[in-house]
Amino acid sequence: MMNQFKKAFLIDDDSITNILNEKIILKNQLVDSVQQFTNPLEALRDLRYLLREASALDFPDLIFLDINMPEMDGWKFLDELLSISQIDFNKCKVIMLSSSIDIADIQKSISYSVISKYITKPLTPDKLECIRKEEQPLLHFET
Amino acid sequence: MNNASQVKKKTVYTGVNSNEKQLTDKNTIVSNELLQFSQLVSHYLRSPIVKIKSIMNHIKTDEVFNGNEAAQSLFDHVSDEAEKLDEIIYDLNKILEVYSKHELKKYVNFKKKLAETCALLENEIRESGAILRFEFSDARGAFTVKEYVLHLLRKLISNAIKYRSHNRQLIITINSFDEGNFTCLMINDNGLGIDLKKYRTKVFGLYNRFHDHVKGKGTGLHLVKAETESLGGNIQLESEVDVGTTFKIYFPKF
Repeated sequence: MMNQFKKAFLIDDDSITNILNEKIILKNQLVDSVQQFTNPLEALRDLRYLLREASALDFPDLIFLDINMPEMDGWKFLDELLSISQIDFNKCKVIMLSSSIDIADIQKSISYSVISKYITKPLTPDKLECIRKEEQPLLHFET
Repeated sequence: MNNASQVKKKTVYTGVNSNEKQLTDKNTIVSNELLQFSQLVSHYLRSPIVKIKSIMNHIKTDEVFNGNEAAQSLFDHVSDEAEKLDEIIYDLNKILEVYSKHELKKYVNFKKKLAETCALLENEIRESGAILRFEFSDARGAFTVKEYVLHLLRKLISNAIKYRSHNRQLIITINSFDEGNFTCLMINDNGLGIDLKKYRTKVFGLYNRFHDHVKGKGTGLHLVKAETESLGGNIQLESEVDVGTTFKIYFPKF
């Protein structure tokens, strides 16, 4: 069966988190391939390279983005991403994936139109299913 | 973080006198510290728990235990504890949020909010056969935060249902009136009641429950109290065992 999304970028400064997330994403067949980044600057460099050199097919369909990262945080990364005019955000969905349950972070993510979802860690099969169906998963223990 | 705007809101000088300015400054410092503490909890404290939880999720699915039931059971216990810890962090975050954030007050109509609450609790109300009576003609509403009113109505009505007596028909009476500078919302039931001699100081505490037969984490009333007091109001409680309980929630008029 063909997956709806082909490629995902995981951007999180914690490599264990990336490894675990890659495992669960591939196991649940959300995408065909995953690329991990512990430094958002490297992800930006790769995205720019893909736009310049490679075909549009190699561009990620999904970007999972952490918020708190040392060198460049998730918000700064987003601002950089938005400044690249060639990116079609209808085809490349940005998902905030943070452990933060601070309402301020959630509200801020709503203010960015390019963010398709705010997901609280940990990533679970249920939350992946929501991404597949393009629904917003429940935030943490909310009922 | 976009907390700067919220902090700023609290530092606005009212221009009445210097004492008041000092008080405002002090409040700003306190709420700043609360905000920082709240961020500490919502992110830095939660972060390692989340990692533990996701690692545990993977171990579970990888079937490393090969039928070793003792090891599996110990592992499940650790998993449960991690889950509980995360829930506590979540509750703590909710409470800190109430104290550190400046909510916008609006005129809230009691009858409308009661109707919304009854819709939410439809099943519980029907199954318990509870009779709800209300009378808001003396004070139709209060100047407060609508989410807080919804939360307290839901919490107090569902509590009345949970802790009802099975020896009589449950009657919940809700009314409102003005008292001095406050508007009072009163919620009364004829349920099991709480022994206030034993538990008065614990009713609004965190993680306290008084009846073993019902499930609950015991955070709801604490949160209701925090929300009420953060707006300058207060909650009073009267109760008699096997007669019933009355909660009075006071909202400041100004």
